[in-house]
Amino acid sequence: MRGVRVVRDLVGLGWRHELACDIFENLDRIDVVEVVAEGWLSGSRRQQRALETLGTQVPVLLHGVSLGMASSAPVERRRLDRMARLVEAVQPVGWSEHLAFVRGGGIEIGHLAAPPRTHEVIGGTVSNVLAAAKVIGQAPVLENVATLIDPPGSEMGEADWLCAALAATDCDMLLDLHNLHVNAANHGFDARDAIWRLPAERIAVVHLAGGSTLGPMLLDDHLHQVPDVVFELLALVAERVPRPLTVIVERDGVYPPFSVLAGELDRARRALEAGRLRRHHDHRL
Amino acid sequence: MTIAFEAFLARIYVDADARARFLGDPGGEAARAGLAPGEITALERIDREGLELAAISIAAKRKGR
Repeated sequence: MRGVRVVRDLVGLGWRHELACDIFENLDRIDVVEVVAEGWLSGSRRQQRALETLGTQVPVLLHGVSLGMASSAPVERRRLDRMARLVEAVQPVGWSEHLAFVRGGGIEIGHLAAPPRTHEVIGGTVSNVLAAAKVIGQAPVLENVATLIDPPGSEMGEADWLCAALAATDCDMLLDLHNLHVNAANHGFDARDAIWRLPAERIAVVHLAGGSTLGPMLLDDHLHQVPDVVFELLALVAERVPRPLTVIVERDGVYPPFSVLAGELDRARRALEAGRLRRHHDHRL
Repeated sequence: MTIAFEAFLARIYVDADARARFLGDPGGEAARAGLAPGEITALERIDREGLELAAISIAAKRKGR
């Protein structure tokens, strides 16, 4: 089993404890909530019940950040077991992880690192996805990551690598449009062209976020509003993708009034509608 | 690319001293780590500015945990 079990376009928000009250008070404006799994993997039974309660109010997506799926090294079984227990308890509409490595040689990087874009790493990713699907019962939806460094040792560009990884793993994709936008700006490719090259039928989830700059580079920091260009990319994705999309706005700090976040959810809905309308009228598709 | 290559990257991403040694002699440090010739070549061609900025970003993330 793969992907996300939804029947219409959904727009929602990443769960953060700082936003808890706002999320519960505004569930009529939030179609889906994405929860970072690692915040709950070692929680108490009571904390887990709170998450299960959230799942009775709104569809929940689980989002992993620590498995290190895109690696030549195998994912540790104990990490998969913990994720499996959480998936079993919460019964999310799907779960996702990153096309990243997060440790090596006993060193925890503490961040999502873009792996060398090689066939060997894709082979490792396939092994890790198969192991995860076996233990957890469903394959993850795989997310593209932002990177300030052009991954050393890479044999191919980002779009080619994403296409190859998705084909080899037979996984659906979580397309983070801000990650794609900053990588395009920082490494000199066209984000719209990349979207046209990605397998539209595999895109199931979309992340929206904002960022800032670090020296000459754009930085994906999730601390700022979603820029216009990302909403424009969302409309293009909605134009291309035939299936229902689940769109998540991510915000990790410097929280604005909830009305600002709700406004971003509304803009996402409008971008989806615009893209869907274009798709309906576009005879090329 | 091998597990050893990923381990080498992890070290130079998070360890400032290791990164400084590496940037002073990329090929030498990679060879002393026992990496394969193709991996050594890849590291000799590394995006040095990107490495420094990535290290800053990673350090900020680690500090914020």
